[in-house]
Parts: sequence; structure tokens; C-alpha cells
Amino acid sequence: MLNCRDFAEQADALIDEELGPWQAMRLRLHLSACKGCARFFEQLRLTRRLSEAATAPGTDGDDGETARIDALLAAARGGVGGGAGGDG
Amino acid sequence: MTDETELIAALAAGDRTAFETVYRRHNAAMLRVATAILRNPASAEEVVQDSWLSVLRNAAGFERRSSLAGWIFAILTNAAKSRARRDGRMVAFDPTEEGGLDQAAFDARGRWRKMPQAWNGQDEITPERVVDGRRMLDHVTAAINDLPPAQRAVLVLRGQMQLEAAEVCAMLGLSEGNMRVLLHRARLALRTRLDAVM
Repeated sequence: MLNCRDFAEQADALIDEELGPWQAMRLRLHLSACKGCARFFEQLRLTRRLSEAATAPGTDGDDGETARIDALLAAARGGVGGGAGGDG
Repeated sequence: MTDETELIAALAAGDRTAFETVYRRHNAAMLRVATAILRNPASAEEVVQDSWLSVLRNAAGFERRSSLAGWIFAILTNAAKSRARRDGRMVAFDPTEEGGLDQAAFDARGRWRKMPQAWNGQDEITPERVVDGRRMLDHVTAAINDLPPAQRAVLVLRGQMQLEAAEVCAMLGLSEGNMRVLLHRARLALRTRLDAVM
């Protein structure tokens, strides 16, 4: 009999559709009958969405970035000895 | 793909806007991955800077065998691993590292000791929502930075940058099974952290 810990341990694999059909069905059956696991499952989905959103451009932005970007571009130009513009 | 084609062409030409776009998109994630490999923020910063130079200098020769992100992170992880070896550090990731599900949340029969409680306003949580004095996004970022190194690297590369599983496994020297376990553990650990502030 699948318990709440079994469900929680495999919940993320269920979202990623990594489980076999039999195991996925057992988890879904538990999910439909257990309020605590249903909450846990929704919170895990939300956590995944939030962690994906945490890469959005500019979330770590600071004023020093502009200077670093310019410095890298200058260094790259200097380092290739003018080769980058060779075709143009 | 057209967008990416144009972006790569512009990068190869040294276009500032294109570089700024790519830099802002990936730099924070690159720092996280490099720190996870090197365990040293100062070395990680240097490796990331060197990797950006490689990206700029080699963009013209990029052969499109992977996505642009896949290529950039391959450059980064190779550079970080070389640096770690040069510094005499181990680069192997531990697939059995601790963390993940909070085992104390369950009783001896595997049932919730205390049922998970609904998060305050769970249905309308956005990254910008302020909880406990910080944006949700900042809570998530702090929790990611506190993950054990292998979980952090996998979460960033696979969970956030959405690189191919095979690419991530090659970059980190992990089997696909271990990589998945680490990713699941990372997300479970993040959910536990968020649960504590909600």
C-alpha cells in the first residue's frame, strides 16, 4: 500500500512523466484520496514554476553589469587581433 | 530558431545589444553552476568571465550542434572542470548527497505527521509577490543557492535552463538516473524551504 511518504518521494517524477503506467496510476489514486498529498502536489508544481521564473533576465541585474559587459566586449575585440572584423 | 540564428550572428559580429541579451539571460546561472563545481565564488567569477570571452571569440564558429545555451554551458563547465583540476580539487559530483524530502514530516507508517497546510493565497502566488519581507523570487533564489552543489548544478542546467538531459549528464559526469534523482531532490528541498515562509 502506497503511503504519503512514497507519494511525496515520487511526486516530482510523476510530474515529469518518468514513472511506468502502473506506478503512475497508484500515485494518482493516492492523490485523489489524500488531501495532504493533494496540497503537497500543488505546492510542488508551484515551486517548479517559481524556480523556472527565477532565471528571468534581469532578476540578478545590477549597475556593475553594464561595465562588465563593455569590458568583456573590449577584451574580446582586443584578443582576436582584429580578426572579428576580417570578413566585414 | 530564427531569433537564435540572428542572435548568434549578431554575437559573432560583436554586437553589444546581442551580447547584453545573452549575458543577462545566462550570467547568474553560469555563476551558480561554476560555484557548484569549484566551491569557490572568486574562482567561479574568473571562470565565468573567461567563458564569456570564449563565447565572444568563438561565436562565429558555433556549429549549432546544440542550442546556444547548451554551447555556452558546455564552455563554462569545461572551463570550470579544468580550473578545478588545476587547483587540485575533485570535480566529481556526489549523486547520493543529502537533502530532498523532509523525512521528519512523516510518521513510522509513512503518513504525514502534520498535514501540509495550504499556502497563504496559494492560487495567486506570483514571482513578484512579497512574503515575509521578500519577493517570492528572492526566496527561491536564496533557497537555490543553499542547495548542495550537485542538486544546485542540476537544477540550474536542467530545471531552469532546460538543457537536454544528455547534455547535462555529460557536463556533470552523472548518469541519467542520478541526474533525475538530484533534480527531484532539489525541487523537494525548495518546496520545503518555501513551505517554511508561507
